[in-house]
Amino acid sequence: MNKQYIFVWEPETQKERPIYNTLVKIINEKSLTERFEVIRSPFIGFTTDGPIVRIMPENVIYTRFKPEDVEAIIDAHLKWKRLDKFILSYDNKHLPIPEKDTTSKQFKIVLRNIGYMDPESIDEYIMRGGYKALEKAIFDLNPDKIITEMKASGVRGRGGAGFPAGLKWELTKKEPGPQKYVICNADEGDPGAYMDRSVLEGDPHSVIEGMMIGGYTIGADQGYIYIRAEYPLAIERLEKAIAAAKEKGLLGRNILGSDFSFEIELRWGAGAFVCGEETALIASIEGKRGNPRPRPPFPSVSGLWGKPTFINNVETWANVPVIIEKGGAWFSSIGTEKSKGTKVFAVTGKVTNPGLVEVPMGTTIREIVFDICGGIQHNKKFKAVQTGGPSGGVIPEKYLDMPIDYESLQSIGSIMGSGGMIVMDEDDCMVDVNKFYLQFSVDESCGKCSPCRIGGKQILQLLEKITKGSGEKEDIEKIRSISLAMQKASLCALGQTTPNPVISALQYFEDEYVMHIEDKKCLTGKCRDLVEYVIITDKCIGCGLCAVRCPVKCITGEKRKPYLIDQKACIKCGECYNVCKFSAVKRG
Amino acid sequence: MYMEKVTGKMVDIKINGKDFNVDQGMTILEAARLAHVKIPTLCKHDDLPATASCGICVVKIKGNRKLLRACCTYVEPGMDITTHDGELYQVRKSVLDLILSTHPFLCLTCLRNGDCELQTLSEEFGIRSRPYKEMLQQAPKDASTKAIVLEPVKCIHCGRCVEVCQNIQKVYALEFVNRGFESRIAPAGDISLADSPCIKCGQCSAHCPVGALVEFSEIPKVWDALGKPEIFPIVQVAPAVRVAIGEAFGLPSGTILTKKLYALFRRLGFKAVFDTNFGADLTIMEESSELISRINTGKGAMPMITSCCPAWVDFLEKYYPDLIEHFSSAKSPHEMVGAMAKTYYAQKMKIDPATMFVVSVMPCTAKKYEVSRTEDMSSSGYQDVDVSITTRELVRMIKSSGIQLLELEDEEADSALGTYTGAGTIFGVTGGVMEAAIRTAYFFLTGRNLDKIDVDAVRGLKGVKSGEIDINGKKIRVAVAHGTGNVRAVMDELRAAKKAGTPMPYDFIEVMACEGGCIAGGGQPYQVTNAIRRKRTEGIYTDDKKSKLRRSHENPDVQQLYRDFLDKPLSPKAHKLLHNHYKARPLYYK
Amino acid sequence: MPKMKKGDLEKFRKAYKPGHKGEIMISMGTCGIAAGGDTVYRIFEEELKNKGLENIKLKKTGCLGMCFCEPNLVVKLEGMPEILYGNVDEKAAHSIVSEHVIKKNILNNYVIFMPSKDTGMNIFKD
Repeated sequence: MNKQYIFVWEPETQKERPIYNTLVKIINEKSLTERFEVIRSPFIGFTTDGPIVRIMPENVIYTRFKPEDVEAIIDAHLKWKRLDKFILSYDNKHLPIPEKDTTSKQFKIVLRNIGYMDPESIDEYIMRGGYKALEKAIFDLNPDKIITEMKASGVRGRGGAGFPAGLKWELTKKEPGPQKYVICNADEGDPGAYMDRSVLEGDPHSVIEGMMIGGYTIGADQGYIYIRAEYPLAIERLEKAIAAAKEKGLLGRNILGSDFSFEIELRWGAGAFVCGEETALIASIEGKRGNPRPRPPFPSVSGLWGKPTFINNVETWANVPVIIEKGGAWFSSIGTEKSKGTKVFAVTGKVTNPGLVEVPMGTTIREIVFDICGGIQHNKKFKAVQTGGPSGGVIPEKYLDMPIDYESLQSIGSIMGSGGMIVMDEDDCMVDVNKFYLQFSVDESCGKCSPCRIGGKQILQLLEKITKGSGEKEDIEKIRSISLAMQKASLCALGQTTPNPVISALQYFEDEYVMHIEDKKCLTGKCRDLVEYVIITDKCIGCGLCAVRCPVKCITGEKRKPYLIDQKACIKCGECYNVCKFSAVKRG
Repeated sequence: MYMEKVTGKMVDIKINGKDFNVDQGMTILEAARLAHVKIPTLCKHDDLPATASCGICVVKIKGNRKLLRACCTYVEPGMDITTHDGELYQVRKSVLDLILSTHPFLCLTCLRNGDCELQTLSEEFGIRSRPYKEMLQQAPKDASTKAIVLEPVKCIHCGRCVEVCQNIQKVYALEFVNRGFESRIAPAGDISLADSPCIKCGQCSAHCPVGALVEFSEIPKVWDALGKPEIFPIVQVAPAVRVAIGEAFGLPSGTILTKKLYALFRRLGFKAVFDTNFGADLTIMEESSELISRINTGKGAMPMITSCCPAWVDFLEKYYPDLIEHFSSAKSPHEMVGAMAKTYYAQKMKIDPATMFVVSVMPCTAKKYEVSRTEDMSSSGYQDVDVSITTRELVRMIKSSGIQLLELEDEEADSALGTYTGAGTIFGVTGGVMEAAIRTAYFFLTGRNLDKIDVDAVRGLKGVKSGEIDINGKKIRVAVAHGTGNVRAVMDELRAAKKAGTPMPYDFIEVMACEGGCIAGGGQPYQVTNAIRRKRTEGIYTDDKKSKLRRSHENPDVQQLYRDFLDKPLSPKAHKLLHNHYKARPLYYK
Repeated sequence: MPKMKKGDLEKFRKAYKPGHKGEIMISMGTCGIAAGGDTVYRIFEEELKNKGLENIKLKKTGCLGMCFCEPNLVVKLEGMPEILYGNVDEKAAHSIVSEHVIKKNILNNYVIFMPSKDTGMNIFKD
């Protein structure tokens, strides 16, 4: 727990140190010893009058107060506020009590160790309580009890599908052995998502411990971590972690002296997003082309080399040791009714403070975007947030106060996905964003089934037509019928969810599409063929700044007279619009 | 070979509201047949396991918000299936529209015009317009093998050819290269088929639903020869053709049309009509003698392996060249007939062999490659067989000529190279060469004929069959394998024994590259399944049973050939004209 | 090293002595490294060695999730609060050693520090 430190300086004349004693007394009375630490300090500075107290980390300095006032000061700082009456100074540059608080709404379970320990040190992991869960699982619990805890926790697969993990544990355990496999899906392919990377780079042991507990429960002795080759640092840290665990007898044969043996191997991906799909991942480990297979049969029945296989995402595995140690009931006390626990989101895009946040399920989108991540950059207006990456949909302003969980996101046309959240503002064009996601999905399609292979390309081709200004009225209808075919008839979730960004954009931003198609206009300026920059003669004072900045020098004019943009030469870069201090350039 | 799973466990399901009690090993597609519904499919072939790629066969399952593919989903207790309704029609039609948007509309000039699964499905779904932009893949045609032609632009990505080439034949000449929309069929490394391990067996073309993989058509060459008065066109027909060609004219599989075919050939303009079965009898004479010579003298590698299947010969030369010495040096039957035609027959009938044009009608695409495989194939001084066409090409020739095959009167072949015994005709099925060889070898070794003429141990569709034949106290251990995927196991056994220095597990091995034997060859009519294989096989065995003579050595014209021309089996003349050599070939030429 | 058996983990925890008076943890995930974290690390390495501060442990850690202020690092010293510094450039790195570590003066311009409800498992008992 991060503490607050109270540095006290009292003039030498007061040998009894009344302030210091009062502070200590009150803190003990209120049982705040874990929270506040009182330290006798050398001279702090600023004044020699009366006691000087400096409270860190808020960096607030109080002076000229009496012992009776101490309680009030403590009460204020307990709430992370300050007591202005006695303030001598406080640091202006950082509001000591931040109004936008990035961490207090977070609840770190998966990210519990990251940033607080050296990931290459197994000693520190153990010191922070690591491998307690493994020891408990092997010696104090048995597989059935573990499954009971996992089911009680209500944790759902964090890779995107949200399948109840406890049920998957039960189904895989049921299958006859003797050979079963455990796989960790670390092929994080969503653009803009890096939660799994952070966990693997920052706390690889949590995943290893989780996998071992899983292996022990279902009766497997071999685990694979399928990690994308684009994460070399994570690979390096995992390899070191595995070697360190083996050396200590926490991995390998006869773990902790029991009969349980477990080996973990790494398998590198080769640049295919589709190999994050579980059956394609299995095909890839088998050395075959990374094509998905029809399900049923599900991997828990017949997976890697035909054996029962237990695949989970990195984040799910990282939750397991905590559930085992603190119990399923504790875990299910966090979150909403159907979605328990926390979720790590990688919030990127137009927010002021992008980064990783871990929040309990049920936190609203507004809290994440505006409270934790500081709202939209440059004071622009919020437009939408895309969750779930290329498989998800957009969430417009009207749903900002919706609590996040699996069901609620699905009900408005998006998905939780693996946790990527991309925030868009008024300068982002929905059609352009859709085009980006479709380009990604078309590129990453494996090509096996016709609906995805052909449908994705057809939708992309229609979007390109629309953004170039050749959109026709029937195009939206065509997009809808192709989307229906893809959603219903594709072999795997990549094809089934490829149309999601478009369908959800059509649900909430159809007017933008219509404007692109019928008016041939893009108001944000992102679709260069549909935007025109024109200087408003009434507002232009002829300063010439736009002409100076224009990269193709297509703006001409005389000083103090309105300037003119040559539309034929204009490349629609938008520089003039950005630099004009008089809002004299019209974009539309 | 794709076999239906029969588990014996029965489950209750509902299809379109009606109750059924079916075996749990059935897929929804199979179960729907009981409800009188043939769910539309495209990529599924009854002979192969489902690849689950096209997405046409989707059905609704109550309680599941996703649609599932009927071809690969097995029934489960309590399943409630809807096979067709408005939404399913819409989805299926959209998928078909998408597939058609990437398929060139070149039907009129395509080899599969009139016999194409995509055409049939489009007609059934009432496709009358093209709602989506045409987006074709630009990839060149590959006719480098001169036996099979690959046209990637027509491919609908069903995956059947890859399934056959990789998992059934285990030749690995075809694979999907690239990813997503850029994916297409090509050999590994995107090289030409001629540079790849392709053995030209044609199983890919026999399973392709559209015109992406077809036989290299040589019909114009044949018409050309038939039209020149100075040419002496000769034809021979393989055993497997006569029991399958009826299917193209509405007759059941296995109907024997031998004598009508003879009549047809004469109507087409062939001046001599021979039968490859004669060549088969001749092959047996040579091969049995060779086997006995190896057994008696101890010279020559044992076991001996048959070499009448050119796809198999190519397979061993590429994948197991260390076992080349085990091959019988005898040529294949049709090559023998060709060689004899341009020497024995030419001399006998005083025809200039330079004017002769020998056409083989075969169930096989590899024979197209065989006719110029080595110099031995021109042992007569001219190319012994000028061209080999497949059953499917003959069907087109017949239709374009207008001759009504089924109305013709029966005729006989020209006896010099046309008579055959039952042993010759069974060459068309797996186990037939072995059985024929045993019938004659028995006589050569003992001077007597086999009591039981049918050798059941080598019959049937099992991948590898083996047995022991007792020839007068001497035990000959035989193995019969069909489908190059199954053969590997046997060849690996030989390699292992060689390496360990243990005795070889067999004395005589018969191999056919195509499952079921030539009756299911790469050039035969489409839509083969095990049921059809069995029917065609039955036709062959009936032909055998009906024959007056059933042992190769009893063929009077064969006997005459030896008397007048070849002297005896394995004579120097026989070696020159009826035997050939083999050499190791690289798997990849690039 | 002999392999651990049941109960050894707890013994290890009880006996563990960090043996240093403070630590500096630099976020060295791929994001931190890309932002210049390895340069910062090297500067600290050098400085701590040159100034003879061997009892301060320099550690790499994972990504704290504060991507908007990379490179960032945490300074933990006995008797001082934990401070999270962000946007640490080379100049700041030198200053942190001379000002914060040696003189116990906090560099206010770089402080990000936000108090967080740390629900992680037990860490050093201060």
